[in-house]
Amino acid sequence: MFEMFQLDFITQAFLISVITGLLLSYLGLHVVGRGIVFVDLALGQISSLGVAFSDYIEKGKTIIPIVFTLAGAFALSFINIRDKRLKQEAIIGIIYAVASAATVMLISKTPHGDSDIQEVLFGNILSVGSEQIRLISFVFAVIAFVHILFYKKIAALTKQYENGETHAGIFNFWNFIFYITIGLSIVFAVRINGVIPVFSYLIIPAVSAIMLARRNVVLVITALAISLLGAFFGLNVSYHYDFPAGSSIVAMLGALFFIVSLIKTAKHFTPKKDHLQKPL
Amino acid sequence: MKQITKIIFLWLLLTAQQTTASTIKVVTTLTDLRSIAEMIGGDKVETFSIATGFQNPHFVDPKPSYIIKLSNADLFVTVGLDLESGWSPSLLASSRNVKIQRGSAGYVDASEGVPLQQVPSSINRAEGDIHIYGNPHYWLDPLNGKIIAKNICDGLTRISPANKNYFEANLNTFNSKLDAKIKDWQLKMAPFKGAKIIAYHNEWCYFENRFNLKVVDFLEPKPGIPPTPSQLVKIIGEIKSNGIKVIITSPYFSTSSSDVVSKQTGARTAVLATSTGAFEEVKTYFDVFDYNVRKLTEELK
Repeated sequence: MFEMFQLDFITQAFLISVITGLLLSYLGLHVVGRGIVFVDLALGQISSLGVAFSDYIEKGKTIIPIVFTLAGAFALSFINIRDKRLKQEAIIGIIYAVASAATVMLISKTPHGDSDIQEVLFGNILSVGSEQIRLISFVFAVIAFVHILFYKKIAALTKQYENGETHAGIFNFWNFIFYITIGLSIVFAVRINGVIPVFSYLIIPAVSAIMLARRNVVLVITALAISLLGAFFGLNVSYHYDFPAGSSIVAMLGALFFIVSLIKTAKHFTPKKDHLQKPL
Repeated sequence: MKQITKIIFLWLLLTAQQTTASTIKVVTTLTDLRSIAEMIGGDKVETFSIATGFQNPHFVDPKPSYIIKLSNADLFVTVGLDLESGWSPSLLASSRNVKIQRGSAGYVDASEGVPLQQVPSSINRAEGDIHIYGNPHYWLDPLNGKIIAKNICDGLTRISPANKNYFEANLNTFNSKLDAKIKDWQLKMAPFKGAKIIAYHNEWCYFENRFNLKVVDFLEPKPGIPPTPSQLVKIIGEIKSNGIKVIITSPYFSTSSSDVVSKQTGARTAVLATSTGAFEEVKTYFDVFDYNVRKLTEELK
């Protein structure tokens, strides 16, 4: 079970998974709470659009995707829907579709473009370099710091979304900060982990935690624990049965979600104590 | 469960120990390099290829076993140029094996000394020159197989100088067998000298020149860009005006576009072997050409 850590590349992959998993599963609680689960795919796609664009104009390979993603995150923070029949998710879906189409159009005029996109969308944690680990550790530490420092502001905002209270003002500074941190973590995480693992880290631990817990502290701890378990057992599966690492971690997170669902269902059919059912 | 994994792990350790005794562990990126390394190294080597023969060599998804094999390898053989640039350098770095890094004795760039084709005169990606050093699919000219074999032989000799004569004897056997084969293949292809064909991807120039074929156009408008409607229309026109009979493609490309063209023109799609192991019956480097020559002569008749 632990003998895989004798290999440097597995230890590095685990380190990366822990760094990504912890931050994303925490951010995921906000993302799920706000009902914007496809924000990751949309921002990931905007980042690919940035790659396609930088390929097309043949400059700015590193900076343009980041600028694109931040601009996308900035635009997303303005979404403010007053019509009850519409959901934010719908707008995010539109952004995803249009960004994908624009990427395809740009690639069709750029040779070699698809392999660059592949590089952005299908990172692989089995072959990360130590500079990449240093860079992502730094960026994620800054993001985590911002979230710890302004925890109350951002959490209050997510609470508003959860309760369906749309706030009036056109521009909300904390909402902007929230989207910028989401955007930055997604650009960096996707490059190393790939888009599907990042989506899973963001959504599965958060959803599982919400199914199990109610109090904020327990929620956060449960989500972090699930991301760690997913990374550890996923890498074990990848190592012992020789599967690509990212997909193994996603499958393991899925298995954990399945177990949580079983627990939840079992709870549902056992007699309840009244005071536990009251919403906080 | 835990017991089983423990037993498997121990067993792997034991078997690994047994084979370390004297064999040279060779890891290649492609199956063709593996096949040639086997013929040169004989019973002195144990070989492993990272990519399979039916996989697009430009894209390989890393798995733990690749890195483990690399970290235990004595010799690493790569096609080079920029064919595997998307995955092999990072795998090599992750292996932390100093013996096989670029520049070390255990690193063999099989392209060394190969006369390259389609080397771009200016590097401009807008023109579709995705390979800045030249077209990297050089193993598809069997004559280049000799250069690859020589490079591998040199690499093996660097690792195990004691076996120099053994490797060289194998190299000579390989070369004379290949010479005879090439004569045979060229004889079979002779009736179709100058035959015009269409290809899916720009990976056949070495094969085309060796066997006197003429690839008129590609289904991909630019290398790496999937066929577009206007390109298909252009291809259909070219097939009709030149009386082209065959569209050649590889196992890892979808045949949906060539099927459309086939329906419109009657030209047939031939899926050729781009590497050893592309199909069940293609077991060695020689089989690649046996298969392709047989397939092409059937379709071109």
